[in-house]
Amino acid sequence: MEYAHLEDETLVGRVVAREEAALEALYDRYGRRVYSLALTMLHDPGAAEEVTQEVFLSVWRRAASYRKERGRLATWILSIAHHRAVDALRSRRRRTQQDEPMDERMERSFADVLTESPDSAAVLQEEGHYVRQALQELPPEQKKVLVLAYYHGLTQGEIAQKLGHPLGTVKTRMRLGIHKLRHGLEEQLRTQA
Amino acid sequence: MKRDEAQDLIAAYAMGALSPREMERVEKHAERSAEYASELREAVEAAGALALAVPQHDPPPLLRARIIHRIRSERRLERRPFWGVLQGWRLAAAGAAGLLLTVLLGTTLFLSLRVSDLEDQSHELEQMASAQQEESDRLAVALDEQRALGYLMTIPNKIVYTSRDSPMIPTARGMVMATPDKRWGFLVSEGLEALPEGQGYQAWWITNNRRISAGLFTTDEYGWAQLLLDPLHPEGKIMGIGITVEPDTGSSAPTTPDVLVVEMDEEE
Repeated sequence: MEYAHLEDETLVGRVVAREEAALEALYDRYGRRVYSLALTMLHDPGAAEEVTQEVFLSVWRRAASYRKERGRLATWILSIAHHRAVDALRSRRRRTQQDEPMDERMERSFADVLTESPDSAAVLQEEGHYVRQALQELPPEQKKVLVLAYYHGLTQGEIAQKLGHPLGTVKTRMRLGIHKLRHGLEEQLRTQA
Repeated sequence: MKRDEAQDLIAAYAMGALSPREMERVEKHAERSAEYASELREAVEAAGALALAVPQHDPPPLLRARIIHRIRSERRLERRPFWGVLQGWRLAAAGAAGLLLTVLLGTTLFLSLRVSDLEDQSHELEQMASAQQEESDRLAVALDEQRALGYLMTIPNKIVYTSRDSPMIPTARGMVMATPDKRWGFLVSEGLEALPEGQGYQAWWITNNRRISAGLFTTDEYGWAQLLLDPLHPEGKIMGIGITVEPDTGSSAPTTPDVLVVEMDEEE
């Protein structure tokens, strides 16, 4: 059976039925995105591999809990990847008791996520391009809060401490940032359509 | 929950910045309100899009095989309870046979022999299943290595180092192919002779002061061989790779002269 052409929901159903080839097809479809996200967040190829492995094991174990009405499969898988990478970052911070100010690594990641990747596959590059553009259009203070929360796994309290802003300000910026990002993405899609 | 607080929680939930207890609170609220659930879903999709903004990198080619290997191991464990039930049944049967022993020695003897037979058969089946699984895992890894080699050969700017002529086996040739970032690669060779049983080829990283094993390999009937080098550089400055003949279990240092050498003129 040719699994590569099956739709996401069909593949998840096959994974629930314990068909390994369906998981392999999901890995072929999403493995690169998962690995890239983990690598960007962790800056460590070994740790990124570990996270990618755990994500697909998690998909294998928890496929039955996926609900289409709660979101797309890509979002579900990438959200597992994000949570795993955040866990790894937090545990690394606990181990090293890192609490540096806005250091070089964090500054670099602002640049990372806004850089076009020359070797990306066309579809991914196009999707990534829309998101980067929507992110670029956010006010800098909202963008900073989203980047610190999403790519560095900082809680709202930690962001407030790091930036020296009141917690309420961080919450507001995060809320507005997400709201604008959502509308920015819709706008991008409308323009393309 | 007040509206502003609910909206703040939606954003934080989407960004993964909540504790498990707070997440549960948000999910429960979403179960009670379709409008809230819809807003939550949209925020989660928007935050999820951030995952696509990062530069894309290819995962290591063997990662796929490792994941499938882990899943197969889990499947074996999933199947275990069946054997556990079977064993429990056998124990019960053995217990019953013990009881009958006091009543009818002949029947008990027959039953215990039967149980023993079943145990042997079950053990044999388990061994066969395990051997088949191992073989299938080995083939999956081998297939993935082939894919990795195929992938490497399609990269236009891959790095290639070729062997110098071998004084010991003039027909032998070899090369090291590596990804442009030199993270991993393959040693491929042809013309190496098939070795007698108990011997194998061992590849060695050549450094300034010592040799480090890069792995064991054998040739096929045409003298073709390949060896995955991952990572490409184990440590320090590498000057090349040498191949020697060693016992098939490998040696800690070369015990024979090189039959083939691939120089890697690193500038590092």
